[in-house]
Amino acid sequence: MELLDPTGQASAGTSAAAPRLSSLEGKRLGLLDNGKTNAVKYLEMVAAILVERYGVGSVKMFHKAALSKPAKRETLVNLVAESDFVVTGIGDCGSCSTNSVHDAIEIEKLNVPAVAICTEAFRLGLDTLTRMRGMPDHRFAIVPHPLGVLFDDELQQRAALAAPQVAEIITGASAR
Amino acid sequence: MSKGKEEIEAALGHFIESFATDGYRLDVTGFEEGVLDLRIEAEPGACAECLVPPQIMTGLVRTELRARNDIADIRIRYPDLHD
Repeated sequence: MELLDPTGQASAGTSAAAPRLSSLEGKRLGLLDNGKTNAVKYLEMVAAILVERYGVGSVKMFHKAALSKPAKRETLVNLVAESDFVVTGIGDCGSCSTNSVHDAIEIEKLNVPAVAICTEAFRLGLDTLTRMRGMPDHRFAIVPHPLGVLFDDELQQRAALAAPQVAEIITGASAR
Repeated sequence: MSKGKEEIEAALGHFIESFATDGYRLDVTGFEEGVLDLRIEAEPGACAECLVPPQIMTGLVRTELRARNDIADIRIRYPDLHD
């Protein structure tokens, strides 16, 4: 007998992640800004490190309408059309971390590797989310909480923590 | 508090901590006859847009408690943030 979940929320199945990239050299990076305070600045800091240290070829910023909601399908389609890999964020609150990871998973389902950057305060809940969304092995970058209220020098330190994680996750350089 | 309720509260402990980060209090208010009741209350200064929507939160709780076969329904009472 098969039991069906009427809410449709708790997924028992799994979805395949996009193939990992062999390297970031020359690749097009798409950034998905969720509108959180410091998000654009922080994502640009991470991108700058990825360009400098990993040879990323180009960077383009995209924006979603609301941090507390998933990105619109149209936004994601435009994003993946112009990106070889994607970084979403920032996730330093319940809804913005949940939706940043949700967006990254949806991008993976469109066959482009993606990673959300979130703070450690929400890590365990996000692990639950990846199971719920049918991609339990999906990884996200974790940095200390918070991000939204930091000054530039503190943000830069957090960017230096996130960039290597992004590179590892996108290239599959380490297992979860 | 019943043993079942205590176990559920322990299983949801990380959600409780995450909600507190955003200025919310998550309580297990009841677990009777398979119905789990949760309540979210806003503390002063809570971030309105940080709150995970009810449908997603219900799914997260259901996923977290998937191993339990004694939960038939989950009800979550949300704060009215428009007061």
